[in-house]
Amino acid sequence: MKELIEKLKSIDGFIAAGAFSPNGEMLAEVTMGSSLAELGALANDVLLKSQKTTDIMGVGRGNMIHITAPKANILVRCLNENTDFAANEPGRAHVHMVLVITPEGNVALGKMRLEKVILELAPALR
Amino acid sequence: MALVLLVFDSMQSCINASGFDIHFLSKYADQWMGKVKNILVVDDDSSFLASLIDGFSDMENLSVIAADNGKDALSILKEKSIDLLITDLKMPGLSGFELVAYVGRHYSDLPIIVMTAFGTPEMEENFRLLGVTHFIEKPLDYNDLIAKVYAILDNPQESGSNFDVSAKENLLNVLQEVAKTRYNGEVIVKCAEKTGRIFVYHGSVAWVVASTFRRTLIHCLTDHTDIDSEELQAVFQECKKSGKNFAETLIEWELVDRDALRHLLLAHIARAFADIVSWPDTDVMFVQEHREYQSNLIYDLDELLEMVDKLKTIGSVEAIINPGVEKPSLLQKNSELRTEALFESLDLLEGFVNAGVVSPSGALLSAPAKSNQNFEAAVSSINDVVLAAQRLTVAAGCGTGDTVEITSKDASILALCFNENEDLLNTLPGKAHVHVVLVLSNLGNQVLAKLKYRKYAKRFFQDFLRAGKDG
Repeated sequence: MKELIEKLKSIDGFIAAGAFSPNGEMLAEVTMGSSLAELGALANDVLLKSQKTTDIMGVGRGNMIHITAPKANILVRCLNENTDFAANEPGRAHVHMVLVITPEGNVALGKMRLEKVILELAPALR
Repeated sequence: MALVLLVFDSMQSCINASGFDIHFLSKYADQWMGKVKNILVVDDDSSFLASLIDGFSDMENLSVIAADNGKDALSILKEKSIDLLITDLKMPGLSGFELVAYVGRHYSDLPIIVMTAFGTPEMEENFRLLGVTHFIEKPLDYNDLIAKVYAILDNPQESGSNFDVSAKENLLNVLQEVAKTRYNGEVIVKCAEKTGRIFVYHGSVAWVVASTFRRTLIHCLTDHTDIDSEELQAVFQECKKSGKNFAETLIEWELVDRDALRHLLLAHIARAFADIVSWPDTDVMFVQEHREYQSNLIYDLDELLEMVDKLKTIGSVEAIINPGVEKPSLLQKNSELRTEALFESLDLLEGFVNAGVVSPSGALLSAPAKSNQNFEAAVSSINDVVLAAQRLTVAAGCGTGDTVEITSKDASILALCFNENEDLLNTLPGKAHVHVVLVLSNLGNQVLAKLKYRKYAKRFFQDFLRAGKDG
């Protein structure tokens, strides 16, 4: 799993990336500095609230969050293969990923690579 | 060395083959009454120079002086009386173009032969504009060269360059000639350390750069339009990636309208042009290029000169630009702050679905752009997302996040937080704190829509603060 996350290191401005369970527990991380472990739960909270918002609005479930802060861009991505979003079904992957890159970093590429890597992580979680 | 000899041999054979015999040469020797004519040959290829000197050494009454760069050539011109200049174009330091322009200006009677490896009819026409009437193509036909040399020296009055004495008139003459011929290229103006470049496309002026006019296009755009540096950066990146024209991309992205930009650019280049025209003793040359210019933001010479005159009368670029370009702010358009003005702007974005301005407690400050129960119900939830995101960024040590973007299958939801409070997660009395929410469908140019959204939202917040203070 870590090897797959390592692929994100080549993105311009990469700071850290990690994969988390739907409960916010860290599965693996690659970081240039401090650990993302603590952020997992907070990122989960953002994801759940975002999904609630999109559900209310009826625009399909939100699965990518981009937060812009003065010193970083934080991307949070959810992959949920379950038919019932509230439950975890056997044989279906449900994983969250967090990618942190610098403000000058390549956000567009970050989003694309995150999309790719999370799909590659899925088989290991089914 | 073998090459030098070969060249020299071929020259001799040409001379013989074309019948340049003793009688031919003596005709000129008699005519010049024994006076030795000095020819200055300038080329950075030393073996080529050596072969020319050798070749001319047999010619009666001709003395060849060589220089391997333009700078040395100028020193020789100052020290010695030269009757003919033969120069290459591409040389390090002072190029042949610059040398020709200088000679045309300061030694207007001195005939010049330009040696060029890319002698097209257009190129010859360009040099004629500079006053050069003789060209010879490289590799040289020595027979042709010698015939030209004797013909020119025989009648130097007809062969001198025709540069104007007046710097301004000279530049205008060149530009008028270029306008007539509808050439593409660059008029280069030199005056001591100062350099000016006038880019022309189909004979019209496309852009002007003067080394003495330091205001860049970026200054001009940020000062006189409401385009901010973030947007300019995005446009630059787009142009770099796609090779599109910068001005046309600004228009395409609706950051400025064509007429306003045209007026702004004209005033900007007129200011640079006025600088160039004011320089004394300039050297002017035209270099043709075949590069295509991907914009129709070009100006007739008359139009440019009219603007230069206007500048002289009015005195500043600002006075000319402001009435035509500056857009009224939202506050100017609306004496009282209204979210409707913001929504009107957002409504024009590609893929616009809905928008609202929300208090930090999650209440809509006014009716949303479009009445929609789902949107109204989701507003407080969006606020929760913003707060959770800000907790995350603070915990990550990267400052308080101000923008959150949620992407789903059908739409993107953006929330921008404006907060005057020092503790960004709290709201204190007298400190403004609002969230501007936008919903975009996944159709259309989302990147541009997001850029504009940030701009409109920022402008709204500034007006919100000003209105609060005025109130």
